[in-house]
Amino acid sequence: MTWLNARNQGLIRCHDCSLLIDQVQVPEWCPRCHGKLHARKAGGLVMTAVLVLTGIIFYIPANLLPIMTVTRLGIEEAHTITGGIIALIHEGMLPIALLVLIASILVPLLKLIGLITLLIMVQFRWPMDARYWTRVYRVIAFVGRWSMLDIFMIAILVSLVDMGDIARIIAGPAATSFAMVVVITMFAANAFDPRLIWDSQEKINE
Amino acid sequence: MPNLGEKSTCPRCGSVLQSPRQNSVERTFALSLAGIALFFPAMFLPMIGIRLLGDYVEVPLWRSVSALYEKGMWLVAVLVLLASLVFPFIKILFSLLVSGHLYFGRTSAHLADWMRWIHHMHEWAMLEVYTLGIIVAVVKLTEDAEVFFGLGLYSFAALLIVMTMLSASIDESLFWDKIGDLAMGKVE
Repeated sequence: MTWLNARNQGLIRCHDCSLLIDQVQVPEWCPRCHGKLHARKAGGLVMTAVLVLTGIIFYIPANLLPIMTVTRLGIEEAHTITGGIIALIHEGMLPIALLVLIASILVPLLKLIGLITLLIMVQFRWPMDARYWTRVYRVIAFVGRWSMLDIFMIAILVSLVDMGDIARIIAGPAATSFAMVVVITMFAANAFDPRLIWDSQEKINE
Repeated sequence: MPNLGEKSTCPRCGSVLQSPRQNSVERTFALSLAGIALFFPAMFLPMIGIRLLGDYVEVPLWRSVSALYEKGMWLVAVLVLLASLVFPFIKILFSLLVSGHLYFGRTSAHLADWMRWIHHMHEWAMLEVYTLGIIVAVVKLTEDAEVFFGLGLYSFAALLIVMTMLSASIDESLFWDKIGDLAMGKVE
């Protein structure tokens, strides 16, 4: 089945305000909202791939280095993301531990895996359930921001617990790497054009 | 075109295309006024306090940015500043400006730019995520310290509710149609 879409009707749909514009005029900017127009985001696949790779590179130090250092009565203790989750489990706070596990470890990891899978399937035009993968894409684009939870929590702890050697919490180097992972994967999801999923399937059916 | 309370979805992928709201402009205008009123107490009044070994400390939300900066984590500080202060403020301010102009039927050369910013702020303004950060931080602190909640936290909770209602009240396609009409009127 061939669907009616903006491109095969000679139209471009604006990403920002949804206005449909005649391709014959080929303006670069939307006449209504002045947003940049793309029939499809050009080079979107390459940009997404580059950002995903950068995300993977930052994901490693984010998980290996300490994300915060807690000082109690002169004794310093460095926590990694995983260490913080294990500490929460030992303190019997399983629901909170689960929340941090999902937001800080599973979401970034599944996002990266999901985007890589989408890139490969679109690039090589593998047959897929386009409706299902469009949903997957939408979930990826929606959940990314929730990973900032850990960063906000550390920011609050750092501002509150600052009593010199008696009790002090400082953010570790992994905080910067982790924040980079979250922001870079958000940009990666935005660079991917989900319409390419459907384009790649149409060519198979023709 | 869907009616009030209904929504139209894409037949191919199921994504929501339009879901008209009742009195979208008026509601957005009222909610963004409430948002402006709540924003400053939420950011600058004491949010959380702790008593630890006899010492009492309380901090407002903006301190979570400056404390990171003072400890040399400038990149993370900038991110927290943007996601929890700057972007939510831009979202409220531009919602107020756009809905105000539409409500009074006035045009402005910046209407389209403000509206485009609002569209992108849905993703980058992260007060809901910050709320979870507060919850996890408080849970971790109760283990060692006595935790107190300040007026800033109550303002923050109210601001969060207003922001959520604000996001739901903006009917983007209606707003864009009105902005387009206003701009055409100016040209004629």
